[in-house]
Amino acid sequence: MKKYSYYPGCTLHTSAKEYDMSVRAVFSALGVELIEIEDWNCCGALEVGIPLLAYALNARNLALAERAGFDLVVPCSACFYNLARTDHALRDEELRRRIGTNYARRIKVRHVLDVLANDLLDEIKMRVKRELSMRVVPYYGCLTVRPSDFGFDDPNHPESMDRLLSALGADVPKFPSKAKCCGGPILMTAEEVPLKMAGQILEEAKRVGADAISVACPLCHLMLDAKQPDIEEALGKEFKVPILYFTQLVGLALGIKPRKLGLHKNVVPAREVVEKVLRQARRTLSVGRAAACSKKRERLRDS
Amino acid sequence: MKEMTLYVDHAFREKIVSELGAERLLRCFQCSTCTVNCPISEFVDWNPRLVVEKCLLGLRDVLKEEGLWLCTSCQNCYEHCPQDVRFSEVILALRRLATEEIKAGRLKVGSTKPVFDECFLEMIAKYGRQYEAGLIRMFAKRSGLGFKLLLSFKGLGIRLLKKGKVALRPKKIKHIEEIRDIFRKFGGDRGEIGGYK
Ligand code: SF4
Ligand code: SF4
Repeated sequence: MKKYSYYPGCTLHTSAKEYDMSVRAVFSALGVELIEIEDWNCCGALEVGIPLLAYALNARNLALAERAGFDLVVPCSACFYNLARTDHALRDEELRRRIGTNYARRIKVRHVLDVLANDLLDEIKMRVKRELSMRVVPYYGCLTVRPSDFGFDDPNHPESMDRLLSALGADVPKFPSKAKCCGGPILMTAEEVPLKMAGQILEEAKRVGADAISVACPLCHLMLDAKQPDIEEALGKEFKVPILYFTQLVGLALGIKPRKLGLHKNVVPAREVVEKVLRQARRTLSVGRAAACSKKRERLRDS
Repeated sequence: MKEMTLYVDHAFREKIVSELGAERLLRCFQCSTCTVNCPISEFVDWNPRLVVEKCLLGLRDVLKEEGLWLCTSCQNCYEHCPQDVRFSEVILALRRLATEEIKAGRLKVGSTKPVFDECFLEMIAKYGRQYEAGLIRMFAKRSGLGFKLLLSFKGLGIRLLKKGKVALRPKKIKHIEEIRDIFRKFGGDRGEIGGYK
């Protein structure tokens, strides 16, 4: 069985519970084991302005993962940025000595999007139970893809989520805002700016006729989903665009029950798009069954 | 037009460049790629190229830039700079220098971001992980915003609570002493804050 270490990060236990639920459900459906590293600490998000402190906090997590012996899968893009940035900086032996870590860079830090779109795509395709019959725009945000010094996709025009969602049957239109900034990091200290920034992303999704936006970061999700009513109020517009973690969509395609994917935990209700996918899947199924039946009938008649 | 002579403050410029992350500052050739790619410069008065120029001239006023506290760390300036200046890292250096001035009582800023960051770090030093409810309470108190802050984020809080997405109790990691040790060694004066010595 394939195995990865898992670093959920603080938000996956609170505001991004449905991300945690859907990541775990998808990996278990694929028969890939995720082992949560023991006693991990906060990565410091974007609030640690002291590089050595940030490196030391993250080196502790990296060393814990290295002891477990598997590559480290990270769902939150801010955590991914911190862990990958530290791993990148620790190529420098002098720096490793300075912060006193025994981390030897024997494992890799991987965003969960990278792993699903690049390592496990064939496994996913083999197990698709329902086509994602919906129009969905992929939104990557910033730290999923930047800086490319330690990223896994194009920093301006990433493609991995596009490819993954298309492979699951979704209609994925061009979305120029896909790697724009949602403003999330300054939400608590300068609210009016991120409301406008996230508003532009929602507007563009509406313009291209999206049924939903697919995201890969808890902070982007919070900004676009839980803050969506405030954005609507600030801009005097109505959006009502469901914001789904891409793992919730992969899970739906794999036939996992919506509740197990935490689809009831999204603030902007996802019920309508989920129903659309399920309805279409039932229809395809019954068409398929009817076709199988008529074939059987023909065989019986011919014999 | 009135003429003005500008003297480069070499000492201050050196001070910035010697900060971790700002080593590449002198490579800047003022092309404005960072400014063009900066998402917040569309909404607020903030020009990354000009900020680099001020650093290069050693203008101490650069620490008064309000935009320093509005940067979202989106890494666009880092990514696109043809000279690999890594401006997003320079910002962290400038924030550190500004924080020193604030603490010494020589600088006042309008933004509550320095206070927020300090509370954020203190939570990590205390529990090893983030504890949002505690963070908001501490931030409301220390920023002086108090109820006003809680009120402006009431909607968000209720929505998250309804969905069971707020932790009501902190979770402390097992080996918290390792985190305290990291803060003591690398936290600067933050290593000594709030009694986590
Ligand atoms: S992009 Fe780089 S070289 Fe160009 S102005 Fe900005 S920091 Fe200077
Ligand atoms: S990291 Fe900050 S300064 Fe650089 S482009 Fe993003 S918001 Fe602008």
